[in-house]
Amino acid sequence: MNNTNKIPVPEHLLVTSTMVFLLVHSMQVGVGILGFEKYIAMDAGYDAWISILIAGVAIHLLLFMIYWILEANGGDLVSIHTSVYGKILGGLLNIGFSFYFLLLSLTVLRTFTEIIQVWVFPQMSVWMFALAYLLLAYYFITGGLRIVVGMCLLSVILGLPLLLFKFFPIQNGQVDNVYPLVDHSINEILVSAKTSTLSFLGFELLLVFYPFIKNAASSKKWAHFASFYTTMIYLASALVAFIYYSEEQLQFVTWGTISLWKIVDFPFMQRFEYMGIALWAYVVLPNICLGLWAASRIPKRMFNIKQKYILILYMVIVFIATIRIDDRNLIDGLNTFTNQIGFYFLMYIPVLFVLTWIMKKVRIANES
Amino acid sequence: MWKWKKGSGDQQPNHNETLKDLMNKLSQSKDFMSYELEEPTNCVVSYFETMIEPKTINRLILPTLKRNALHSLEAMKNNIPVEGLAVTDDVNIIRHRFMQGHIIIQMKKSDKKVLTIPAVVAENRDVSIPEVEFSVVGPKEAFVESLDTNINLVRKRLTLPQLIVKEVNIGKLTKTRVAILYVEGVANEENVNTVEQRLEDIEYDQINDSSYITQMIADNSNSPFPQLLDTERPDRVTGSLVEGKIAILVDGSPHGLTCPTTIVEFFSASDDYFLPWHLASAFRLIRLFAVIFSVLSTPLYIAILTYHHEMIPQDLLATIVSSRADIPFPPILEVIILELTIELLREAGARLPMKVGQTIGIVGGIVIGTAAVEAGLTSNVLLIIVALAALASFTTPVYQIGNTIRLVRFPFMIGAQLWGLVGVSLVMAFFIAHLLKLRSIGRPFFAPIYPLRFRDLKDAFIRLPFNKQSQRPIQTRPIDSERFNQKRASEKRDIDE
Amino acid sequence: MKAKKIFLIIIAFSIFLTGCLPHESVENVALVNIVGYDYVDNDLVQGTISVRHFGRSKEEIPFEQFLSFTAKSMKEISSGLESKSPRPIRLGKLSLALYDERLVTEGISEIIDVLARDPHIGRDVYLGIVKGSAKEMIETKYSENETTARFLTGIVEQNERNNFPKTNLHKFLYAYYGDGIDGFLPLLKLEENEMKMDGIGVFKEDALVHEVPYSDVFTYKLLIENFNDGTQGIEIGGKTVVMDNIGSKVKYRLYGDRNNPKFSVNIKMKGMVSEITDLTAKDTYKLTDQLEKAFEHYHEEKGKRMIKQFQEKEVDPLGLGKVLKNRKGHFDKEAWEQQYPNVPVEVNVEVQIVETGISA
Repeated sequence: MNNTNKIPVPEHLLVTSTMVFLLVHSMQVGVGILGFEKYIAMDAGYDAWISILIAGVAIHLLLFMIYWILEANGGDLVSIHTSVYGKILGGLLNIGFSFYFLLLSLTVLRTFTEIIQVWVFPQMSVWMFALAYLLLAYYFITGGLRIVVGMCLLSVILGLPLLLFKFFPIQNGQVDNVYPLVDHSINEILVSAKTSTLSFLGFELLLVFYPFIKNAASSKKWAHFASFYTTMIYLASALVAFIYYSEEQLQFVTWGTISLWKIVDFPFMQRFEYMGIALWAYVVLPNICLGLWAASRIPKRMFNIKQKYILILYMVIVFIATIRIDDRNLIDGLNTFTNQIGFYFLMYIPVLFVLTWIMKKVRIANES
Repeated sequence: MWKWKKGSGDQQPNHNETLKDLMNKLSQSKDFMSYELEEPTNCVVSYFETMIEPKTINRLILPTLKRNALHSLEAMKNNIPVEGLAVTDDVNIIRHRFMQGHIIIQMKKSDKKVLTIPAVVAENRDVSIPEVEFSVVGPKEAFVESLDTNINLVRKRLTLPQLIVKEVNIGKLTKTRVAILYVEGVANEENVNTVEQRLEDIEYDQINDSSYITQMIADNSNSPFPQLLDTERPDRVTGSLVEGKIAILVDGSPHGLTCPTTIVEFFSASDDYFLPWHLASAFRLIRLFAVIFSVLSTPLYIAILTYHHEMIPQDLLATIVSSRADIPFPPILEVIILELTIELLREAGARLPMKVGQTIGIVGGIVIGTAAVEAGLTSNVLLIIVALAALASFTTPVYQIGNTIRLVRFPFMIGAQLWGLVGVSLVMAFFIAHLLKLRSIGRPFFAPIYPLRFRDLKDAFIRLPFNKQSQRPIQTRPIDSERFNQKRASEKRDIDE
Repeated sequence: MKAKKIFLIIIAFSIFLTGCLPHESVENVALVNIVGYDYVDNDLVQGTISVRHFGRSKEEIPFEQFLSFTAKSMKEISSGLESKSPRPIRLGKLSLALYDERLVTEGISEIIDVLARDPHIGRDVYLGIVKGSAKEMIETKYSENETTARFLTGIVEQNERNNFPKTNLHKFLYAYYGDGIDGFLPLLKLEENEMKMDGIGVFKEDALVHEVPYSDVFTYKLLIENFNDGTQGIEIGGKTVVMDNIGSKVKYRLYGDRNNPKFSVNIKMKGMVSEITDLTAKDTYKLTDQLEKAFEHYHEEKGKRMIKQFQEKEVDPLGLGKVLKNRKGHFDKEAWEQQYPNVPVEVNVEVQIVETGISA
């Protein structure tokens, strides 16, 4: 294979191939999982579990393509784009990706801030929280990718016990609701599958991380495994929500998973949602860090400027945007917008795949 | 970071100094002795009265010189029944030896060549029971202030030709002897070099204790977490050496340092290896829980009472609210007042002589606590929590990390007051970031957790039985990572065989 | 470096100085455990809450303060109550909400909406319908050393562990929003200064339309959920036999197709006969079979009669519509509502008496 584009990264900055599991998984699970039940059930109702599986399969396909492209090129997003489109068009696309990753971070941060406003502190001043959170993210990102991956690991470890709490709503729910019966048309299920795909957004960051992976070839199975794990988590969450809520009720519940936590009851603690939201800060943090890291990495690769400066610039943008977007409708709009854009970017991967494939064919033909 | 950078300051004193200048300088001190002997040997003997063993000079050196006519330093060297004699004319060496308690003999006052005779008086504390890291089972000896004794204690336990002891002198003025110990063929050379390099690069005038070294060669000197493990137990040092770690012993300090270390190592006690593995693991988990409790209990109290009342179960609510009914302060102030009281008692207890200290601790705790509750300044629920948290912070086997835990609580309290549980979460995230970034002699400090090393987890939060620990921890990157042959140890036998 | 540090310090200070959110420590708020709503007239609703005051010593008799306010909307009521209270009112620890019968008959969608929306309110809040005045029920002193809220909540909790089916805000919302299922809440009654669970009120949408009397509640619970508690006595030949339920399971079976569904409710119950008045012990042993038959017959008859009544009133607390929807799909709410009164529903009860006590 042609690995001329390989970007040298010092050995001590690399992450092991196992950690790709964390990278992919923690980018996929973010704030979305706290309230995705409503959106996927909007079209397909209780049949949305099929949509999640379809989406999961689609993600595996896309992951396969991403790995194929990366292996064929050997570099990262920037070198792929440069070799496919040349400097100028490729550069524009790169910047597009950079902004897209930035947008992902912004959406996650703003939505998480909103959750805190809605559920915990209605009077909280957004700028202060955003500032504190961004400073924290800055502290992480300046430690390098390895440190961010460390946070991913901890977020996965901390997220696991939260899954166990799904047991409480099952006790209180109607298991009969998930009777395996397909009630919706294929069309509806596919629409819902499209909605579900958006929950998995973020794995395309692999395009930027790739040079940082030790034994990149063996990381492939970990990426797929991560995606599978995410699918399972989404599936489990959806099923539990379907058991707990009636189909029509689900449309009235904005944050399904958080509402589920309300029922968790210990002799020493009630109303687990406060704890859950606080712990979710750990799940959201790697999301924001990875997004910002990738977003600021692209310009560094293109223009050879210090990543630190771009990072600070991007953080200022995110900070200002977070303050400016200050009501429920705007936040909803932001989410819808990000999802739309995200979908296009996902659809772009097959395009890139085909182009790379053609290029490779042509080159082989030329050589022989 | 400035600590190990080679400074511009000249550590070597001026080279033009002659022996005569030195003698003149030294003769200003009252304990400097110098006299000429005449018959039968004609020579000049000088020493510090306070530094030498009188027996050596009275019974060994002077009789020899008086009985025989010795006309050269070489002759003396062959005749005086003391080992470690040397003839030299290097002023630096002479000064160094003289200051360490050697007797020097010149043939004539103006001679440049001298004979140095070691006669150091050994004023040492006896090896005694460990005080900070006491354990009921296991060895009961602790390091003392003498470096030689300490090295002896380690060597006695590790009779290996591969145990290397390197020595450097650190401190512009104190010239403290610092020994680096490691097992060759196990310890990673890179680690050894790092330690040596950092020790040599220390620029400071005095080294009075090993804790100076800890702070000076730490990777991040602004961190509240100690990055070298501090121990007074030779068995613990030996254990670390065998795992491929490096030990640093400092003359004049009864504490040895081992590195690289990890955060979990600070929560493991030597007892853990003396007890059966399940018990040891259970106690380790209890200690871990104690630490978490100690750090988080009061911040959670603030967060929940200030912002998240809904989380308190109905039955607990009555207890908490009625105990807080007449308290004039908000939870944050109440907690800070009580925490400061406890810290005050702790500091006072540590500064006072032992007997008085204990009394102050108990009396102060009970009297002040009860009085504060009765006066309605603090709630008794909080008193219980704070006292338990203080108690829990004492369960750490390594004293230094206990201090860290004492301090780390306060940022958490501020976080709790700012944003409730979310604030606690954010402060925690900050500390996680800090720990992730932290390194001990270039090796990750947060190790078996991140980077995740399953092999090292066998002796982290729990301690698996010895026959499962066939490998040395990856953390130290040992050259030879196998402790024993796993195959032989795990041979399985059938019934009645 | 220095500028950076100063910058950080300034930020830290500004966050700390301005960052503190408005907060009230737990002892400075009025934690409401119980709230009641009464119908006044077409527009007005009267809200009543009880606020507990905590003394310093625990032995002190709990002192409660009752506040009432009459207004048009829920928001007005809460702000009105707030104006009467020395401390801010917090509904976060609400454990019981009571509605008077008249109000419930008119419909309580607005009140339910308020409860469902507020993120501070838990989902395990008990709701109850009061026959009579909710205000009176809250303001009655029942016990010397327990607050009204604790006392009333305790009674509901205790009963729902035994003969009453489990209810709470979440379960009610589930049925309220869901298609093919109707909600139900317990009926409470004040009798000579004693609170009593009097039966079950079944809702159509947000309004009460049907009542299940206390005598039928055990059978009702058998139809609704699996449980392993509760007692029911029946008369056999003029003698009372009481059976403890130690485990009952209910299964809904659906036959036929979407347009002509047929339901059968199968109940399997294991019981322990604990009290047999006027029957000697020996007889019990022989009578086991007979008793089983008698209980089966009793519950089957009651169940059928009850379901008939539901169909007449067009309420579906069993969620038969939901069963149809889950199993057959393409649920048409309107068609189902047309069908429901005439859908055949069978009730089969199987009783197994496993123990008859330790004296043979």
